[in-house]
Amino acid sequence: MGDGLPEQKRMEHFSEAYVRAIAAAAGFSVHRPEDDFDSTDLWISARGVVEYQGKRGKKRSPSLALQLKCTFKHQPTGGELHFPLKLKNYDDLRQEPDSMPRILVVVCVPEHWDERLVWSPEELRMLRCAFWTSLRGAPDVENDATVTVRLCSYLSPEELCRLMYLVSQEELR
Amino acid sequence: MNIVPRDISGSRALAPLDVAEYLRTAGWQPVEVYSDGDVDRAAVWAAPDDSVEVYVPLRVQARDYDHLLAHVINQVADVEGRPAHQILADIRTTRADVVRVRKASAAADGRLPLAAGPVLFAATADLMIAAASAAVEPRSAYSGRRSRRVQDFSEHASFGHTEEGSFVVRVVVPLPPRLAPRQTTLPVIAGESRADLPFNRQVTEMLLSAVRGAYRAATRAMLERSLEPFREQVKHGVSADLCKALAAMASEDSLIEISVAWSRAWPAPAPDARPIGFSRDVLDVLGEAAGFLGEAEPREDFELTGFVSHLHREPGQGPGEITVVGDVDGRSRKIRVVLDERDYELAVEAHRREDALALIGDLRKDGRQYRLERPRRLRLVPEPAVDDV
Repeated sequence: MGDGLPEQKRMEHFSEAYVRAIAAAAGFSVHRPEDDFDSTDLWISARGVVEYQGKRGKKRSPSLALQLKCTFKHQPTGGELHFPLKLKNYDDLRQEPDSMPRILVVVCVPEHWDERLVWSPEELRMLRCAFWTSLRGAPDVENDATVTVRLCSYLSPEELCRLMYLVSQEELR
Repeated sequence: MNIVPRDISGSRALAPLDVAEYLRTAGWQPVEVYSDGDVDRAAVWAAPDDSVEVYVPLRVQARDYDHLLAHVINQVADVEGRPAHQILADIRTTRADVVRVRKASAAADGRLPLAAGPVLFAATADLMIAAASAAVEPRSAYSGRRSRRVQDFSEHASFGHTEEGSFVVRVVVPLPPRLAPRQTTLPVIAGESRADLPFNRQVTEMLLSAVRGAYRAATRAMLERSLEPFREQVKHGVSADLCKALAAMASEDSLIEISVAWSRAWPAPAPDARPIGFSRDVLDVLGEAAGFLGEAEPREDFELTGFVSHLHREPGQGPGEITVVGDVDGRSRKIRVVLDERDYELAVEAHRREDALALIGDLRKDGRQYRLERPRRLRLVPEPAVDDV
């Protein structure tokens, strides 16, 4: 590829596309805030009642905010990802007040671009996976530039549906 | 073009109540509220056609408030098919009537000469004060201190941002939240205030009534070559003060247009009416009418100081009539005053001693003659002795 988009932007767009695909598969809409917003990259919204494993959510039309990161340097082992988060981001995510629940999503991708998206006439594959966590109520950390956050939940269409169900139950705050 | 968060946070924060009131009056329905403990953090509203639902933040102090609200407004703009900035402007004035005074110049380039700016703004303020005074009590002219209600009005109504479209001065007249269930449209009776409405709404209704009345009177006055039609419009809010304010807006090449956009939160007396336009010749007639109506109304609490030039009393004791030569609006005038016996004796003494007389009363002009009614606090004002200089 030529000069094109800066690397960081490419990774942002890729990770956003990854999450949008998961949300679309789960039946949710995705919106991006106008203007840069330090603490939120995307809003996921459901329309109407969210159903999960036969259960109907208590409240309708839940919304969830995401802060999105993309990394190839840090990869999961044993189903867990340890990701260094800037202290500012960490504090933003653990504190309130916000108008909706907010989670951190980290998309892990292979090192090289030709490995991240595999296309053929039969299929399009995006590699590799995404993790999520909520830092609400996490402890205060001082004197560190970064905080290593442990993520152990994959973000899949079904998991996103479960998250939105929890939001509609007001159990994910 | 979408609005962005700084459009919301720039001048005045949008209150959740403003947004809710706009959505409600635009036919949106609240369908859900999300809370965090005891605190409501957001409400979900469904579009009138149920095509879209928006997630509206309820806490101004939330970090995402401006961003979410900008997103909501952009979504509402998509549903309504109107520019987002218009939606934002309407939300800001959902709970306000907006009066527009448009000076349409021949050049139509949206600019106003420096010299004309202060005059237009001052005249617009005077126009609103005249309407507020008429909403309290329609009279042909107002003098002395304004009532408490009029003073309160002038402190709470404000100039809004000017608009493109020749030069437009906006006056934002705030209204309280309307908490009662929506009523059907109330019947309109021209010039009659409805006591169940907030006073500020009564003022904007009176303004529209008065401006229409002034226009009607002016066109009839030009046909009949008489200013008498203006007297009939006093009950509709026309006053010397209103006519003077409108006349002050005149300039060689400009049409003046007055219009009102009613708050969506309160029943409107009529759909937003067409602007009422005043050409230069009509404004000139209003200038004449201002003087005509001003003379019809007594000027209360007028302080008269002058020399007694004439005394008259029927033989015997009792009240008498005097003539005082005093200043009225910078010109020397003869003013007749009927005094009771005691004050008449004082006036006689003043005349004998060649002292000035000071008194307070209600100054009225009958034809070409001035009279001071309800005279009181009469006293002599001696000439200073030579030694006192």
